[in-house]
Amino acid sequence: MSLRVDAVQLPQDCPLGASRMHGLHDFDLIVVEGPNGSGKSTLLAPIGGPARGATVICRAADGEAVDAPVQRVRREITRRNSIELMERFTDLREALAMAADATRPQHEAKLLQRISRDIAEVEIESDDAPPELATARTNYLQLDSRLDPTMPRTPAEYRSRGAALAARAGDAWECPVDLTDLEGRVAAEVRLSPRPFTIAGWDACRRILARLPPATDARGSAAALLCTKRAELLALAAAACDAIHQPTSHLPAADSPLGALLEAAQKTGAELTAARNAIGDQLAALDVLRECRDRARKYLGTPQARQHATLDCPVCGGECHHDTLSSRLDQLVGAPDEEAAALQAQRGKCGDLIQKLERSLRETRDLGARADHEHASLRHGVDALLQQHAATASWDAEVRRRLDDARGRCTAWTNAHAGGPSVAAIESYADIRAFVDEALSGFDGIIEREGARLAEHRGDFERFRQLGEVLAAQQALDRIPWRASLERREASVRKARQRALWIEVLGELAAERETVAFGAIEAVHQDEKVQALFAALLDRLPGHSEIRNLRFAGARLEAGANERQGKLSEGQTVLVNIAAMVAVASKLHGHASHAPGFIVLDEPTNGLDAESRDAVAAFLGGLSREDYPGQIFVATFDGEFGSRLVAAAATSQRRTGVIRLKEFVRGVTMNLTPATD
Amino acid sequence: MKTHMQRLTHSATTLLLDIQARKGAAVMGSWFQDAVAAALRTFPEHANCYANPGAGQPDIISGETGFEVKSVAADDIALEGNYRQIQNQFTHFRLVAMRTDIQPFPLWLLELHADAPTKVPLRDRADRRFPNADIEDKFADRLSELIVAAGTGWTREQTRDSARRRLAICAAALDAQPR
Repeated sequence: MSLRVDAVQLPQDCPLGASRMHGLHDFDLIVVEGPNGSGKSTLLAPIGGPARGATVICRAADGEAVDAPVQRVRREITRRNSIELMERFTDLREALAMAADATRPQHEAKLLQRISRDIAEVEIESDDAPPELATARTNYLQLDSRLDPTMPRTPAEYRSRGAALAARAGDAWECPVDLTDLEGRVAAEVRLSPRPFTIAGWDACRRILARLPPATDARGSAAALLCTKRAELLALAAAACDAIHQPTSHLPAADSPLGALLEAAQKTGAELTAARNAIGDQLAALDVLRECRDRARKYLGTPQARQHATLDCPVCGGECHHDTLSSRLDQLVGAPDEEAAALQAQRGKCGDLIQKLERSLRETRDLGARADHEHASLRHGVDALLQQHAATASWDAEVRRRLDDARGRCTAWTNAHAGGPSVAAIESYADIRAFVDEALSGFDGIIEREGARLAEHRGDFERFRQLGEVLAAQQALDRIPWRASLERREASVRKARQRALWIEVLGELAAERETVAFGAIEAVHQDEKVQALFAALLDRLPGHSEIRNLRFAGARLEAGANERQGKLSEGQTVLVNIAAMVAVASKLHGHASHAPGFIVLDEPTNGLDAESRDAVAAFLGGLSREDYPGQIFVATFDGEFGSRLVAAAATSQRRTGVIRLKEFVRGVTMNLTPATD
Repeated sequence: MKTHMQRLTHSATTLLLDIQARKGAAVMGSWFQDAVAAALRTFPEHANCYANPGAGQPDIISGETGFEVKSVAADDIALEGNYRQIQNQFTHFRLVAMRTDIQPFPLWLLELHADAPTKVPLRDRADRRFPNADIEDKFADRLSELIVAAGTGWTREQTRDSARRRLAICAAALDAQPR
């Protein structure tokens, strides 16, 4: 049944308001002209497809009014705009499928496929494991993987390790029965945990002993140097005594106190200095005589002296002849003064000795001070150790013994070397220090050994504890009561098989329906009438030689042996698409599956040049009622195209009506008027 | 006469699944076979059993008894075509079957006789011709115990040989335990 549009009522809220167009039933070609924005598309929208609120009143062939929204339209053959018409050729398979009554089998096939998918998604009841099982498994594997791979994961191993740890800890231990009782297991294990080792007093003793100052090399010590210096001083003092012809018995012994030695040496030095001074006096007297003789000689050497005798000479009173005297003086002065020489030598020797003695005294005093300081330092350290009042009662016996040994040695040293610095004191102190160093290094070794033992113990305990965790996790896992049912499993398998079978059957049925639909469609696709109508329509197109190879095959337009599709102009493409629309619409006209019997073209000449526009007008207007018995609606802003369309329609005897929308008017009622040329 | 299926423990099943996840079902089947052999050796009557990799022979041989070890994710086991020739060589021929599509894995220890079908159904109560009460009731527990004792130290070994050695050590440790 094909319907013809008689009236269109727009809703109040549309841009044109509640406009109405009626009296369309008797017209085959309705041209709606108007400028852009005048409402052409709005007016034709309800005809080309469902529009909210709009009413389209159609009339059947018997004239009966049918007030129903446009339904079951194939848009690609019902309403096209210019852009769609200029696209590459439209696929009209769906439309022809409708004509081929292939819609139903197509729908049936889709329905069967959908049912098949739904069935596939149905869950088959299965015996799923409780979520705690997966958690328990993961926990168990994680814990187990941390264990030493060689360790047997057995309760016996756990008990054995626990017993060994208990023996080491000197404690009793009873393996808990239920390892999954976390609190009980941990409480039992904690009793076996290794305790940090304590060697009471080691650190305190080490601190005490470490306070002793380091030992020095006895040979390089101030005491040793002092010893040498004392001997040197004594030797110098003895030499001084010899120099002044004094006995050396009054000199102190070499090991006398340093003060006595210094005093004796100093005294000897003073005496030596006095002796030297006395020698100096003697020399001075000799020098006076010598001076006198020198002067006299000098005087006697003068010519004056040679000529005159000196009657009042204080030396000879004039009794000496100057020549004799001169000769005598020459003898006296010229002769070596051995006494003076001896005195000189002696004085020089004394001077050297004095210098040496003074230097030795100075150095000995300095060394004495250094040795005193050195000794005081050792004494201080020893006294400090002896004065330590450490609480030793709680210390280990070995620690106490070592400290007592050190104290004993210090006490002996103090008693032996209280007098003052000495090489023996240095050497003895070095022995004490060596003893203490050995004791300290022994402490380090003991601590290191105990530490290693503790680390080993801790490692053993950790492995034991981890084994407990694994066994607990294993027991907890095994206690989960869930067991997958064999029967339920098999029932699930059976259901799955049945489901697969159903899906297969549905698939086959769907394929069968698709085959039916395909066959019907193929039959229609090759419909000779459609082909003939299409070819006939193409014959009327200008430039036909360029499109002669087009063929309406498989509901698609295809090129023949000569691929020329890409060579068509926009205008030719529009014409070909219109021809295809008309051919298919003609085939479907009156078909129960496609109730509307009309075509709507919205601005079909947009973008076309004048020549193409005129060609479209000629073609479209030239369609006779035999070519297409239904109504054709055309909206255009192009007045020239509208005129040519109307003129062409006049020659094909299509009843043509024109609606002119000169301006945007809301709520207007338009009566269609026959077109006048 | 019917025999009830036994079950491995959840922990033993978890460890076998660990092998399957890391190395595949085929390796899991092979290593399961080794575990069966090691577990059998803990029974005095099979203390000298050994795994036999040769073709045309059962998987495990213990004196006059041959054991075929299978693990399947199905409700029946198909025995190879030549199994009857194999079977005829032994006084006793037993099938150790484990299903891996149900957890914890169920286990059957079936005596097969000459007229047993080549396709053996695995049901809650499976057919058996003669009772094997000597080890059947204890075997699943013993096997579970051995697998768990070896733990991931076994499942994560790199090679089958090292895995076998691990099992042997654990089996010896189990043997040493007072029972």
